[in-house]
Amino acid sequence: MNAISLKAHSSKNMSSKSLSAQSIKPANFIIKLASLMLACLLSFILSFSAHAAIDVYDFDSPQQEAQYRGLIEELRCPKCQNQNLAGSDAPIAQDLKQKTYDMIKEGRSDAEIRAYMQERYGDFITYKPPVRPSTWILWFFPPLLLIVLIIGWFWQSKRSQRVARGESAVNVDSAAALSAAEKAELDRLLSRSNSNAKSEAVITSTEDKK
Amino acid sequence: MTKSNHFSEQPPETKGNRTMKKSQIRIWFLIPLIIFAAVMVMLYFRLGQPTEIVTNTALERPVPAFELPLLSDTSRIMTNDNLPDEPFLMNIWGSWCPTCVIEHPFLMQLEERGVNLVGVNYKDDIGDALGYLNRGGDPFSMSIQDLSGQFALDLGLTGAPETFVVDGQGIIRQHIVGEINESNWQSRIMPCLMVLNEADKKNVSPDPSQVQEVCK
Repeated sequence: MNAISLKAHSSKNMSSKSLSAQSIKPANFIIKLASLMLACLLSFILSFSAHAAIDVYDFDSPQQEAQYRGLIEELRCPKCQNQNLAGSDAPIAQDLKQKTYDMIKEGRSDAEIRAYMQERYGDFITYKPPVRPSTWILWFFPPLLLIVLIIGWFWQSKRSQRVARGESAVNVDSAAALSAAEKAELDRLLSRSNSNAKSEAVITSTEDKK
Repeated sequence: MTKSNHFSEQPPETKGNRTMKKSQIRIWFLIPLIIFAAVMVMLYFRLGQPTEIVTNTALERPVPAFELPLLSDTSRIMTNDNLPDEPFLMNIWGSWCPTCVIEHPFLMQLEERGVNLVGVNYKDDIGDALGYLNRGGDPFSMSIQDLSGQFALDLGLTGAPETFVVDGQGIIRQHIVGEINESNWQSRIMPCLMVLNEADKKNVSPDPSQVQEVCK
């Protein structure tokens, strides 16, 4: 018996049973029983019709089944491009699924199966391309861009904070690097601008008064 | 003193800051436009280009090892040693494949022109396959039967029909996905086959750069 369909219909049975068990009352017991039987019957019919439509593979263990499902999700159909093997019914996809199954039954690892497919169909066969110099941009560009953006945003917000606090890094640095002569010159200019500012302040204050 | 100092410094700084912010905002508004324009240019140059990705892993490699029955007499097992010593076309076909039926008359023409064709009958019922060859004629010097599709898988086949051009040393030089017809025969296959034939006559392996050029 196929493991996939067995699982599916046993879970259906369980859910219908537990649903009806919650609300059993003597009055409508017969109706509940009838609906339970109907649900069982329906799930049987459904599981058999599903059975006919999908490929039937026997697996030795749930691990093997999980491995198979993982691989057919990851591998791409070479004929109907932009579909994976799981989603494709093309003859070549069926062959590749069969091959994947055979190799899993032989106990091959994911890496071995991927290598087998890549040898025949190139990097194109998998939706998860290998990491190598030619694919570095694919793997590392997005995270790198994210990191650069975060750093840039951090730096920007820090700078705007500093500007808001009114301390400019440029002023501090240049003041520290001044020679004695330059300092004297700066003092002279500052005192002049101060007197200017004072007179300006006087003017604005008189304007305000008007 | 310090108060007035502060007062005089503050206005020009905030003013400069504001103008810088304005130009920055203008650049931020331009960025989507620039990205949009770049995408448009990229898409424009992709218009009309083939979107199918052709996997060519079989190229520059020998024909994969096989041990398969002859279609006309399944008791005889063919191997790589039975392949022709001269350049030939290996055509993968099936009686169930509609494009193969369309391609078939042209294969008959090629046989008349003296092209050596080897057929690989791919996942076919043997009765159907022989009936197909009886009806439409047999263009192949021999057909081998690949019932399981394993040999096709080793070739990196994506479907039928596909044709491989093999040189005198049994190395695959060209891979054509889909039917072959007069137009791709003239433009792609014949030039490649001629280079391979010439090299085979001189009993040397073909010049890689030349193969690269005509057999791509």
